Amino acid sequence: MNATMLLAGVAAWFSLGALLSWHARRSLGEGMIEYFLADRKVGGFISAMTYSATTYSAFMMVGLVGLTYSSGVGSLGFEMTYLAATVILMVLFAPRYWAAGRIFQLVTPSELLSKRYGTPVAGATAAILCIIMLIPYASVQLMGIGYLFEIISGGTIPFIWGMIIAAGVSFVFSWWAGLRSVALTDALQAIVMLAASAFLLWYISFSLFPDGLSQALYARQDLLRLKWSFPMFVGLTLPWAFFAVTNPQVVQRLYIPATVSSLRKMIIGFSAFGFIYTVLCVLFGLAAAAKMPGLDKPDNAMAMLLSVVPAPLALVVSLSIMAAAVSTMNSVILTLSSMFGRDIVRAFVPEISEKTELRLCRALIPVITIICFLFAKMQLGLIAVLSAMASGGLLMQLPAILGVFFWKKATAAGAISSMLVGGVTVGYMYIQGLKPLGHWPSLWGILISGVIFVAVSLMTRPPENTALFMSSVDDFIDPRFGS
Amino acid sequence: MKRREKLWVIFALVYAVLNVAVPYTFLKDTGSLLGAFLFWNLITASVLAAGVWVTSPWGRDRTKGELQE
Repeated sequence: MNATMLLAGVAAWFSLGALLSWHARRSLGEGMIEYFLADRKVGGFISAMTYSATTYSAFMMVGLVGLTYSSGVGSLGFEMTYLAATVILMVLFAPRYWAAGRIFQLVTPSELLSKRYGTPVAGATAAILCIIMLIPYASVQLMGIGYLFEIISGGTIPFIWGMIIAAGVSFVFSWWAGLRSVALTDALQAIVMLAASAFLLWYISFSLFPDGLSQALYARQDLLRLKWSFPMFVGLTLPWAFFAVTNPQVVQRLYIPATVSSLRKMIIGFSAFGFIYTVLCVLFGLAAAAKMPGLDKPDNAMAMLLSVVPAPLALVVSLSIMAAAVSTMNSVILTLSSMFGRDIVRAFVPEISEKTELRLCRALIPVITIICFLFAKMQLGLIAVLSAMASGGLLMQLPAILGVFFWKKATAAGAISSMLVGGVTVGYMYIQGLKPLGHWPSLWGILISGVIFVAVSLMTRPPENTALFMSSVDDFIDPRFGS
Repeated sequence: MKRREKLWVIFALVYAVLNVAVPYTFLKDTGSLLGAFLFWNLITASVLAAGVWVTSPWGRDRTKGELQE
């Protein structure tokens, strides 16, 4: 594709997003809750779209398409399991997070741990774990855009410039008006992601497969047989299945819907978006495998598909991939900056004013963006490992999170030790490439983390206000969420 | 945990077992769109539809005033 055309498309898309950010800025009030949660007044549709755009990254149109291209239908099982598990968890946890956020005026997901376990160390431990795990994950989004632009522009836009563009856009969308801006631009980006994918499927169905895709797949029946080994399926699916409660950038979104019905619309809207988008991406992978088998790099399958469609369509789809990456990255950056201020700085300097705290958090947005950029610029093989480790590492918060709402005997010592030991175990196993008995590190990590959480909790004393915490949440939920 | 939530957890456990057991036993070698591909689409759609049902009482609020939703 012509680089001028690509850059013009990016400029048009950025202008539209910047206009939305400017609009959001006009209604921006003061304070942490206003900046990071849009004052908890986001409607159902925008909540659903920002949740969807934050959840689904560039992995879908690049990684999942490539995974389907190389390994077939197992990738559909992996991604659909993730979607179903997310909805199952949202039904159970969204009311509780939403209620706790309002009762205790929470800003970050880790702050909930501090509140429940009665010590800021619990929240700080979770925040540090999240920062370590999510910076590589955000960096990979930048790398994805760098590679995509380099490939589709035929090398005219170098890797580094693609990353600079993506980092710049992410920074503007998140810094300007916080979550108000991110939510609006996410909604725009989610619509672009879905519309572009639907158009692409429509085009390739009629032009590349005049006899129908299902007919073409008769020649690739191997891709429709389940080739994934069971340990691989569990190893990949397990950490992602709990994404909805362990990834702070999506958990923070459970605080933002304005009303109970907005919260419900968020879940239903995300369900519909996720289902359609997943099916489309898997079909792209199968279509690419049927039409152009034998690619050396499966991750190039989408780029190869785009090379055989008209340039305007390829441009819109490329922008949708950039939108997916940017909407994930700016949400991660915004959430991490809020966690740094609330869970680390305020935890240890409690007398800090909210104004100073917010100023510090905003100052951190460009810092985290630059760190992600520098990390991505190194193009280390280690980044891929760290990124893969991210979901496994974040999973180690799961026992502590379950304990918040469902186990009265859970203690701060149990929560902190389970996150620390689990995080270190998973990190060590990923870096060393260890898979005892053929099972992936996340499985071993969650087993160890869970056992430590229960054992240490039983040996220590729960905070005195545990019963009060739980009854406050239950009393708030009961009249609003039916029986 | 409320009654509807307990039912939801049981439903989730049944889903978790079927979601893995069926494709890895009966459908493993079915090389068509009517195999694991269709199964995973259908079972996921069932969970999403059940999610719509289980959240249907949400917002039918019995409170009034500031937090009327």
